[in-house]
Amino acid sequence: MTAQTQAIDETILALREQGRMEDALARLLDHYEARVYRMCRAFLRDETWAEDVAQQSLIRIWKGLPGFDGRAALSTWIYSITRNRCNTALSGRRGDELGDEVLVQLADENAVDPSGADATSVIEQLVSALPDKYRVPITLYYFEDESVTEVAERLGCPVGTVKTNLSRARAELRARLDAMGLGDWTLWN
Amino acid sequence: MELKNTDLSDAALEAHLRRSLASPALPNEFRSRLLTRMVSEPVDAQARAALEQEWRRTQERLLAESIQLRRQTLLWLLGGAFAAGAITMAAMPWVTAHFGARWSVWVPVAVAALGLVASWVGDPRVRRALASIG
Repeated sequence: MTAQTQAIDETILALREQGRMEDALARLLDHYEARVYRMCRAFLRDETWAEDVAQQSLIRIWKGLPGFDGRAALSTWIYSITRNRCNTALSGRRGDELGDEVLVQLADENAVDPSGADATSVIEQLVSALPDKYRVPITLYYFEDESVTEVAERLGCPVGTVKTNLSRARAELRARLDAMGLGDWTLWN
Repeated sequence: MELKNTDLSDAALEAHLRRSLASPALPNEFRSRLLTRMVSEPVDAQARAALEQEWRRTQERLLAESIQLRRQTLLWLLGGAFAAGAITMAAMPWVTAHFGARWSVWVPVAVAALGLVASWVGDPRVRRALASIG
């Protein structure tokens, strides 16, 4: 947790203790709404879906704040609620099927002419097709200014696990690019 | 040599990932929609009062921002129109003297053609083709 987040958490809890709930809400949203939204985007990909789940999470957080017992850090509690909401939302969909569709489509589009491929778009789709355990950390890593600590906090797992998954995600991307004949970077725009 | 290629590939992949996975901004009026949704949720009286207060504050801020934006847009339009008129008036004698009476036809055509050529030359595929010729 960063010093800034720790200070904000303390302020929010102090405001709650003083009964200044509107100030607590304003602080909570100022600091966490964008973070919660980015986390939902990393998990769910779709903008509208992410907004809906981010709002559900923030409502749940707001409703639970008066009863928050402080056993974990406020940020840890907030991110675990968000993570649970995202996992519940995801559980109804099978990400692997989407991944296969994207790969087949990409292979058709780019197999003939690698030099015509739009690298950013191809990478975006390949990331989207990665299994969730690699896709979520690598997406969050770039969303959160390349901070492994922030990603670990969002996902509630050790820094080492995040590093391992980031490295495997990159290896997987390289392998998929090679398999599509797009491994030679000098051909890219 | 192998190491060099790997480094290049790593750096290129990293750059593309950075570009593809740029941090997304919050959707417009996210807070406003969230507060509207929160107000309709069953919560205790104190929390409801706080929500309603925050919701009113957000609405007032959005209204103030929208008025400010409209004022700024109007000022930019008026300023731009005035500046364009003044530049045209000041430059017209010089342009007519240098490009003849029909300048108003062929100068814009030449500028448009120049723009088209510039965008064509800016295309990476054309740049690669030109580089291979050169």
